[in-house]
Amino acid sequence: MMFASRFIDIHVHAMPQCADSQNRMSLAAARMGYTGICVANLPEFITGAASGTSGIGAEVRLGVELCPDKPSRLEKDIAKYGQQFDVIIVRGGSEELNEAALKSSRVDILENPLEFNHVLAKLARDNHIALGFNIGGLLLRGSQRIQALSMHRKNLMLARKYGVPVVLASGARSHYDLRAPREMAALAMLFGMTLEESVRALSTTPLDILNKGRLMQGLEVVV
Amino acid sequence: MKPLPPTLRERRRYLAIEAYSEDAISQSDLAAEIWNAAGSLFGDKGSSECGLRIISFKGGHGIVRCSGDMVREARAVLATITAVKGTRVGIMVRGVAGTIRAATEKYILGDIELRAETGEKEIRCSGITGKAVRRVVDEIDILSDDQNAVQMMNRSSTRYIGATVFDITDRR
Repeated sequence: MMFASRFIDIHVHAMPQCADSQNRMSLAAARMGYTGICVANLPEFITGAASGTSGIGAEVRLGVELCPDKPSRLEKDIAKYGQQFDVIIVRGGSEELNEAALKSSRVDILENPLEFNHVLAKLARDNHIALGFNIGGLLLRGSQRIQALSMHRKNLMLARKYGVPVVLASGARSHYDLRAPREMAALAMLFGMTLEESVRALSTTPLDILNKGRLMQGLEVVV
Repeated sequence: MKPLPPTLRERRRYLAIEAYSEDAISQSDLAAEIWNAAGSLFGDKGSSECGLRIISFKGGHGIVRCSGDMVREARAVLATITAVKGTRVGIMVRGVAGTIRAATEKYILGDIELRAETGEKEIRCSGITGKAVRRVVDEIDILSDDQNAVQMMNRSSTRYIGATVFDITDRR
């Protein structure tokens, strides 16, 4: 019952950043039970590829993953790519960078911020920016996975306390990295996420983010 | 030794799994990797409680057993597997059942696709030239030594370019 929802993997990579084409990711995701994916490459790997469906795979929407080194660079990147893409994902960095990302009205997701606290959590809630949990780090072993788990556990605690929207994503760099929704939920359980929270973080919250982009584009056409 | 009466046996669940791998992997290598992954994730104590054991595995499909109340943990262990003996792999749980027979009948039998069609055709797709080494329905793996392709595969740590029939622009 609970797993009858529409699932979306809000952050995957594709060609030319990685070895799998957009269509291949879409087919592989559909096979695992997703109805949509968002391909968000780094800015240097942007192509003229279009969003849409290949007919039989998961619906593909385009986003961009920004990982600027300083806040001023972030503003430039947002000005440059904000109009072009449905979803803007910012990779967490220094505290100043995270703060700048959470103050921007165009950013949709702040992903894996290591420097995250109660002040930033309130900012995220007030500006309706989702906190992203990229499970890529949980597929490593040893110290990197321990650090990833600790970070996710802390971020989840803050998100719960301040009511910040949460999304779960694979951050897949190939179709071998994609994980089915139930597997994503099982991985999220490792840092304390409940089944209900995982389902929401894979369905309604990412769906809201995609619809927000579409609504805003629609508004521009009307005005 | 007399077998335990049914009421005293521990409860078990059987996971029907499907593994997508670059090249064929053997049951013993997969078993060793599951063992490894469980040990790394939950330690020796947690792994023993999880009771993971591979019952059968062939041609990308298999059955894995776990303790009745540890299904989520078992899923987590399987989800952390990214490679078996250096071959990239992704594992998906197709379904969970209470007996080997139910798991096989419900989740494996009807679902086996014909995984054939391996021919070395020269193919062009998304600006990359290479040889198609495997095709499963619409998905094609391409072996390429283009400079661009090699860089992409390094970033993904894979051996093949993943494409689909919709990407092909030229076939020789």
